[in-house]
Amino acid sequence: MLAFAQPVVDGLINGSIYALVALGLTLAFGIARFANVAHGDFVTLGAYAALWGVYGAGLGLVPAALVGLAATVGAGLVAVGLVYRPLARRARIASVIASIGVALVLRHALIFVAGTQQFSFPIPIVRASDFLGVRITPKELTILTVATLLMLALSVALQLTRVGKEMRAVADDPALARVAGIRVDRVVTIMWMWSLALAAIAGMLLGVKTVVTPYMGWDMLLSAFAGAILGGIGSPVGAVVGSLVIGVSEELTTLVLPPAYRAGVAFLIMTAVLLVRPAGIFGARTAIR
Amino acid sequence: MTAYLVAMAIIALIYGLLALGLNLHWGHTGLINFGHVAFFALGAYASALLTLGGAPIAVGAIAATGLAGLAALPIGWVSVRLRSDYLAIVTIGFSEMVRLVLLNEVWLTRGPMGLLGVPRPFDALPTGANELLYLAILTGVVALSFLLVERVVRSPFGRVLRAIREDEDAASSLGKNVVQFKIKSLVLGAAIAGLAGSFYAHYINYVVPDQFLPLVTFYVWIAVILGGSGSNVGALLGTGILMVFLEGTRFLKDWGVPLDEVRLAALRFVVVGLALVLLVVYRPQGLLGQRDVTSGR
Amino acid sequence: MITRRRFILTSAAGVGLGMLGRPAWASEEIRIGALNPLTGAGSPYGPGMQKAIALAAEEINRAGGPLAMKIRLITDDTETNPEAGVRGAKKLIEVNKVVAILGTWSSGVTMAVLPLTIKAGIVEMSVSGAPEISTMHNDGLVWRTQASNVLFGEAFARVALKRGFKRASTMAFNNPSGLGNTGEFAKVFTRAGGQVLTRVVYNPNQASYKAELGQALAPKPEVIVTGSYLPDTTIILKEWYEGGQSVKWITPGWAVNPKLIASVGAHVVEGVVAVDTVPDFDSPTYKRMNDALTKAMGVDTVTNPYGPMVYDQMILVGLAIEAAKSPDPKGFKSKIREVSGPPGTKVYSFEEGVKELRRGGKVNYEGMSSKIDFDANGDVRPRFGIYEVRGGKLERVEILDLDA
Repeated sequence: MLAFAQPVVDGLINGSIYALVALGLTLAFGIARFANVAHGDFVTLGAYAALWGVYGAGLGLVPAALVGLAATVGAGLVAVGLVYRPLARRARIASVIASIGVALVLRHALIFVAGTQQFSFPIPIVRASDFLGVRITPKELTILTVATLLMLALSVALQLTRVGKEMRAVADDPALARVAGIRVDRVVTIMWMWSLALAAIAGMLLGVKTVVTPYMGWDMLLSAFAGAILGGIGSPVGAVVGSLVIGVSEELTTLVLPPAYRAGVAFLIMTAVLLVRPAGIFGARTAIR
Repeated sequence: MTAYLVAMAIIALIYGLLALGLNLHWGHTGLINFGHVAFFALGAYASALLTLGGAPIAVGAIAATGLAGLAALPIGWVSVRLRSDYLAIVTIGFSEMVRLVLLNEVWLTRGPMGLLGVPRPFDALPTGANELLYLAILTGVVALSFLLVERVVRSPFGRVLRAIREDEDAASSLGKNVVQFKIKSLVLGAAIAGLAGSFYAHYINYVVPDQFLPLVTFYVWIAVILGGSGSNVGALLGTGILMVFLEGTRFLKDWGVPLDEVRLAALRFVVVGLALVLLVVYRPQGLLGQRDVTSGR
Repeated sequence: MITRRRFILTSAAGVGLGMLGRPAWASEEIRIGALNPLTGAGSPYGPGMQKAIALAAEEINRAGGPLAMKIRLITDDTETNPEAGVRGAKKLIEVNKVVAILGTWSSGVTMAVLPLTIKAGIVEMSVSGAPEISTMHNDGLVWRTQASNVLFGEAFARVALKRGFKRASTMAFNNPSGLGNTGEFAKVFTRAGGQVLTRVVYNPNQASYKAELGQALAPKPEVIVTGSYLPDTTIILKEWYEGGQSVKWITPGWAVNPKLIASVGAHVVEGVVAVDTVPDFDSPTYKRMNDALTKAMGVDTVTNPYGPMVYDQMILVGLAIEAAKSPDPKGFKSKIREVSGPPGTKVYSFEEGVKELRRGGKVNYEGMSSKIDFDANGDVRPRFGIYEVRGGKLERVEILDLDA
């Protein structure tokens, strides 16, 4: 049994980062109603912008994080205004294809500026502490803490604030929400800002955990999508639960399969969910067709 | 210089085959297949492995076509149950899974080291003549594929495909077995992509998983959208324009533009991504398409 | 009567007629392709290598050039990636029509490019280690100025045995170089009585190698020997240090360099041993050219030992062309071994070599990187530098001569 403890803990840490990304995806899915393929590259942008803050502007980690947030939300809102909003009335596929274009632009603009090599945040490497046979480093604990706080903050925002309630109304039925006097456009914009902020922080946490490369966000996008879909697309609680399950499953699989097939786990779970129970764990029982 | 133009034409024609296949999926049937590169990869590896094992190249090509077509079956079954953006994600995942298997099953594919020395047909011919012959054969194959796809599209079968594209439920209510038609469309388009894979393997003579990234699928999508989804001529035209752009920019360095290879490649992708966005937003019907495939839901 | 006008006209006619008689390949210049890892995992070395080849070409041209023809370099980037390397090679061969390609670094790239160069009948010289390069059927067109993995493996094994290790694991980047280095190490180590407990292979471009590291550490080895590159080694060492299990490391010199030490922190890499070939410090060629080459590359020739290797490649090609009296690879390929080793007068520069060749003699070029006496397979036997990270710095603790 104890052999499983480490992979489970590692999986929860990875899963918590997936959860932040999945939350952004599920918000966009529920409210703007399309799968934003560029989301992973906004994750990457968050990491690079923070990195620039540290090495380019000589800032400390927290101010650099704010730079990362600002850059990602800013760039994202440009994409929303110029691309996603104009396409909102058209077929969903148009937004998906356009988001692929946005992803390409974003990723390769980063490569143009920073090249393809990997970078690291200046966090000192320290030995992990041993808790009953499970090894965990201070930075992993920090990642878990930050991610959990953010998830709580988001759920508080969605449940208790006015904007949050309006968001849920728009997700349920935009036409009805408009009739009820909600300024849908404003709500959608705020939703994008939250989604992008989550992506930026996920990128920074991921960069701290491993290294910063141009493909870091894209590489984990499938796992995050799988988490959102498993949990029930449109459900924030689902996004978190689903992502944690995906994270843990990926780590447990390395006990039996070659580690490189980790990515296959997310894909298989996601496909199975879509075929068998498309609504996922917490989603409404709407058809996916 | 002619050698280079011949090389570029060969690659362009291979991509043209991919575009014809994808156009059948998306342009004619409305299927969001974002995993097209998987069929390309399976065709390339099948042909390479068989011919390296001693089989004649023609056998390799046939096997490539067949295997790719077969691989489309599971996509077909899955596509019926999935909404457009879900199908997009699942098909991207599918192509990445195929690539992962090719990368990791080293005993079969030599993983990241790739398959070297994949045979070129008519090897006895001197270099220039060999490529010209290859180009000629490929041109013939592309022409035949074009005619085939045109026939399919103008046939009653093609009409049903278009009906499915416009309104699947209506087509279904008219008694058409939508699943069967979708599967057939997928298999045919995938088979053409597999054939393209075979031509690719026997031209580059080296097959490695890195050649089959989702980027290839995105290129083909751009070509199809640029040319006008639903138009086969458009698919070929879009491919041509895309290739001229991609290959043409390789020479910028020789003309004194002070950008290194990596920056140049990155810039190329930025332009390609922008083109995709602009096309979708401002001219979704592309150059030759008659209808806006992105209207409606 | 010879008027000035008549003189000019007849001279012009003479030159024109002379030109008509020229063979197709004689375009007054010899085109050489420099195909190096300007970007990617080999990027610490590629730009320096390109400059080293250029330096050699300049030296050759200043001395008049082989057969009084000038060398023209065309450069390209392999991106340390076989696919990009193949595209670059195709362009160099088909568009630029080079007679030789020099300086491919990663074994993966070289292995992918060789079928093309062999088919085109041009000379290829690499600094790659894959053992297959020695044994492939190549018409005398393939040479390398870096030690093969077989020699590296032996060097790794000697280092491990000398330090008293008996139980080792290996971690290999999934490419010919990584597999070759660790495979050859395993052979020599086990023959000498050591135990290779497990051999792990990992794929490139992953964000984490924790699982593979776990596999290597599971049987509790004393040392892990890697066939790895800088980006992956950075991540592996970081994750190893965090995990806290005690083990020693022996890595290739291109995987652990000052950049990595700065990136992960000196405390993480303290005691890591790195093995790489070193230039031939005693060679007169080295002594003469070291400063100029260091200046051109921007780093010293120990930090980038590939610079001297490709400098030697260019000089060898120049001498071979002169010796063959032909810039056609069909002609000069057979002269490469001849100008590189005995019998012949030892020469330490292109100028010296050309003088001797034009006198009708034979030459034996002694290079910067090694004596460059190609064996039957087109391989060389340079010396190895054994380095250890001490106090955040890479210190050379030994020079290992496998033939000593």
